Amino acid sequence: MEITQPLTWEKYSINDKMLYCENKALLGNSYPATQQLRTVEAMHQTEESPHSVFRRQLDLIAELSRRFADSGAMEEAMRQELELAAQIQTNMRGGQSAGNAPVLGVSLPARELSGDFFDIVEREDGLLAFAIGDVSGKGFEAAQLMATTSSLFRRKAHSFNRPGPLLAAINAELCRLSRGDGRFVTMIAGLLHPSSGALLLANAGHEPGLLHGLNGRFSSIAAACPPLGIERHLVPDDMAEQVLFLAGGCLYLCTDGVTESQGADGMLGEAGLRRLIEDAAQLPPPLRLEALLGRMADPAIPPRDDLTLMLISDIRPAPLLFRRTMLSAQRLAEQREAVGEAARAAGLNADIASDLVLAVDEASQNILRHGYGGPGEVVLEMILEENRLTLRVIDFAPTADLAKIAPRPLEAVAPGGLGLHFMGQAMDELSWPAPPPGTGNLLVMTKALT
Amino acid sequence: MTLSLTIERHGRTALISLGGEVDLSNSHDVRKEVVACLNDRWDVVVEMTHVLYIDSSGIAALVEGYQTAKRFGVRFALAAISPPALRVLKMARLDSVFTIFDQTAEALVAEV
Repeated sequence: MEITQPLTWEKYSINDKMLYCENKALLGNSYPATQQLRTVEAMHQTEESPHSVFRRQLDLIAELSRRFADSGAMEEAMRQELELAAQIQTNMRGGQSAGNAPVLGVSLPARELSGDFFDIVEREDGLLAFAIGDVSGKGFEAAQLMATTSSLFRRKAHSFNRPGPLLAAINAELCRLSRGDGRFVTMIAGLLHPSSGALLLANAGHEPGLLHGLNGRFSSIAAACPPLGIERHLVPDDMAEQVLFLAGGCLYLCTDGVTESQGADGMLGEAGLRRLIEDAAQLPPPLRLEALLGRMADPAIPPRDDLTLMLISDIRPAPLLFRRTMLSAQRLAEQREAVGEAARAAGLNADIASDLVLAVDEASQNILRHGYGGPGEVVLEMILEENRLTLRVIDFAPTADLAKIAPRPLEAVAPGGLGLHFMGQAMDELSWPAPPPGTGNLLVMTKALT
Repeated sequence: MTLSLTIERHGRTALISLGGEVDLSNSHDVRKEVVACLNDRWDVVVEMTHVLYIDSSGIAALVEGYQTAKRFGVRFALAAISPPALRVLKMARLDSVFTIFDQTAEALVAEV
């Protein structure tokens, strides 16, 4: 069992050379010159993604199968090419899987070529884009569709703002390329905002994602539309997305090879997966991933399907308090109670506790009054890290114009506008960073505890 | 804990006693009562002994009382302010703006 490591292009150049040499030795002059040129080109264009090299390799296999059908050389040629393709495909998986990364993934193919894929892309804006997918069927054709899908994802991973329209765009492209042979791709795409642990997810026909909360509860993120590659209208631009908060928990994404894996007691199933997750919950994410795989892939039983598993975990300290509530003026008292209680439980002194209560209360009433103009959903998180307390308040109201947020001058004795001043007094720093995808506003308030 | 609000008449002075938590859900009630007394040209003393919590909207109701009283030429004072409420008033540096008495009795005598 091997956890895939982050990749660099250098690794591929070796493969490319092999690819080129073997092709030449194998095909000699009968191999079309244009194809040879394209392969050589792939070797030299070091900026080209491994995906496109892989796709070329698959094209080549297709070409081989057409030219050498029924010939004795075919079997050996195909074996060698498949081996190469599998090698390239293995290298393709996982953008970031090592160490204390928030997103980890691993994929075990049942045969040389997998119809599963996952990908993780670190973006310049600090967001992590990730995806997991499973192509119907197995073998060469499934692998080709997988390569197309994952390269479409990779091409768009840096620029998309929401996973729903991203899946819709990939669907449109797959439908355009479809041979109408009934193949399809189930896929989850998401964006993680690592500093807040907020996630925006879209699920097209894929196995439900499982969020395992800090309190031990599971919530399941079911598919919002059918899989990709069937019909264009089935995955609309405005397909439902879900905003989740890790809040010290972990999101598990897998392909059906996981839930359908056979252990000593039969098929794992979702209930079995939940038990495995509970058993491994205390381990750090990389070890957890390994432990889960160890329990899923019984070496004595050959896997029937490709098996892919991703962990999206909260690498921040566990929050002292996390609340996601439909807040109203009438429910502010209850929220103050919760903040005060969490502060006391953490052993903070009474003055600091009342500062935190006031800051959260004022931030919340600003959201109710100016953001929603009435009741609305508010997310509150309180984290203690190295003597620094951080409060994050997130809402789903229209994003506020930062230029209009300023505390009023105290010299002007006037009702209203005091809340921001109170927040500034109660806490050391207030900031409004770019909100997590799918949310309206993010307020971060910090206070040093000396 | 909800808001408690009582009004007693002492000569020309309305003694408004606040207790519990003053927040966005009830500060408009405080404002309404304060302004109603002032509209009738009563002097107003707001007793805050039992205020456990007050937010900016509650403070704003008191500031409006202060401004209205000034306009009408009547008196407006705060009395016996609980430590949590005083902390918030100080945070807004309004402790130097309002007339504040330590004891309610002092405030009532001063107003007569």
